[in-house]
Amino acid sequence: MKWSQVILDAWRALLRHRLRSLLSTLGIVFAVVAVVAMLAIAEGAKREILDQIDILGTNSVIVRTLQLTEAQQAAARRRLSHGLDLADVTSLERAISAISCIAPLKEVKASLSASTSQNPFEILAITASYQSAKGLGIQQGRFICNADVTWKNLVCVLGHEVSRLLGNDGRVGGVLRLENRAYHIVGILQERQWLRSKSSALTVRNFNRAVFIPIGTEVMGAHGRKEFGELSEIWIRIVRNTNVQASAAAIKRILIQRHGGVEDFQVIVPQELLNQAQKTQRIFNIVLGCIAGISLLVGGIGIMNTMLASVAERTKEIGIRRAIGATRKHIVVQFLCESIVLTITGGCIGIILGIGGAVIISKVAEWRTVLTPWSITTSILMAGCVGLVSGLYPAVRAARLDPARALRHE
Amino acid sequence: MSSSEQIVEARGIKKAYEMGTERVEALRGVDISIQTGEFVGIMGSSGSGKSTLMHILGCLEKATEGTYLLGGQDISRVSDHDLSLMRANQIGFVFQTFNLIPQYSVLENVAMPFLYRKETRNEAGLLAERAIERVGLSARCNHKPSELSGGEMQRVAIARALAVDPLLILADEPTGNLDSETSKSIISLFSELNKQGTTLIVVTHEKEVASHCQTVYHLNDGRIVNDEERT
Repeated sequence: MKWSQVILDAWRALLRHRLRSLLSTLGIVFAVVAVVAMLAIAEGAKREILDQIDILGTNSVIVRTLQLTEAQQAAARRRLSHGLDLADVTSLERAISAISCIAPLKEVKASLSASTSQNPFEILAITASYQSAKGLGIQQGRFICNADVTWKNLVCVLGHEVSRLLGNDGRVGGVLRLENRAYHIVGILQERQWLRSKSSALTVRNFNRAVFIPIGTEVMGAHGRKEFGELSEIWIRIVRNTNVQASAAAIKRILIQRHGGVEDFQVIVPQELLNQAQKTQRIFNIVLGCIAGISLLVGGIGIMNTMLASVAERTKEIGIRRAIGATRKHIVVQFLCESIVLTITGGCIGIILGIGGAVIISKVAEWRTVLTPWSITTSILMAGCVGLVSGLYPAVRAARLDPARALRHE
Repeated sequence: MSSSEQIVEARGIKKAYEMGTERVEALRGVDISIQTGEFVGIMGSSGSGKSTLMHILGCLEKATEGTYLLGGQDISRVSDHDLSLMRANQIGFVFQTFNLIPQYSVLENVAMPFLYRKETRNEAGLLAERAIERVGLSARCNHKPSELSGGEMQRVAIARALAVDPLLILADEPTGNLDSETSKSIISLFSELNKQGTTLIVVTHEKEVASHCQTVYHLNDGRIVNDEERT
């Protein structure tokens, strides 16, 4: 048995019926396209979530103010809730020993001279603990310190991109006008990698485009009155090796108590989101598996059909081969090889189209796609297996033909 | 190769086919013995069982009854696999309809039996070329069968049978599809090969072909009616 010859012959036999071969392998092509593209999307989604979790931290808990309507706010006020405020932060810190770091944050809606309307800078009022909470690196100057918060100093720290865009005005020692106040620039942050997030639950702030000011400096002046929901967010880090879920539950309990039973906030546990994502992933994988399985089954039936037709029309050839000494095994191998070459060719076309599809999806839908060698090998092996399974019956049928009768066949 | 060596030794060969509920007896007890280097003709009208006899002698089918020794080996009871090996190593076939593989070139057709033997690709190529040379078609090595005339196609088929240097070449109506002029050249090729020592069995119904044979068996209704020997 000469394998190279057998494979070459298989190729030639398939090329004799180009259109038929192509059409019959179409099912396999589609199955492989689906598998390659979907595995790429699934892998991309998985990496994306993992990256975000990495940034947010697996041992963190985020408490966020819910957007309430005027009526809801009024109802909450009647029950003596003012939304998240600095007092909440203090009491959480005191009540839960597992908290290793707690950082309140307020998103400030104020106009900034240098900020463009399409892509505004984010103004974040924070305390000194925000730096260590998020691991912000200082490129120049200093971060906002406790004294700034206590004395309500009009100072600010700029994100890397903000500083760059402001040019000469964006240097340490410069002045930034915010509404009607002048904030002295005391520090500039290092550039930080930022990933655009697609899941709304996991908002990752772009610190490169942020301006940090001490908490408390933003509420005075124009409005005077303390607005509802003093804080937008409280970021909490839990001591390692403790149960994040349990701590999150405790945080929720304390806050509900403090807010007079009104749940005007949301507790987000990235760890939980990861678990959720993995669960979704599993469902996605099952669906993907079913689609691929059905396509392969249908594709396999198509291949079997073609191979049966091929055996029938080449009965004479089988007779000739048997007459000049081919054993049953030779005939089985010949036809099996043909169907495997057919499906693997389909598989290769599918992989090329699948890769193309993944690239197009990532371009058009802006979904991250990741191709792994594993997914490509799996697809090829799968196609080969379908060829083997669906080619087996026609091949055995060919081998069972009586040589003398096959020779007489016209 | 000693001239006295017995190649084919068939005794009491019977072959019956089941056609639905009917039992058709194609051969009803045939005895044949053929020596090395012999040129044997088997004649008979259609339906006389000559094709069946050729299939049995060529190891394509097994006899229902009787013993068949090919090259001293009893093959009346061997497996399908061993029959295939016998065909691959001891037998060359030439058919009425040539039975070449249309997508193969002349060289590939002739080298085809080596697919099922142990020779390497290079050896196969050399042996195939030598066989093509013997039938005088060296210039046509890379042509496809469809580009050849009937006589040339039959020469290719003969080269394919010759290539593996078989114990025995069986030809089933080799001139049946050829005009008389070409037939003559094929028959003279057979005679020539026979002179070089090849043992040949030709199944035919043409007296012209049979006249070149040393021994002719006449088959009628599954039995040999008489055999004539010439010297």
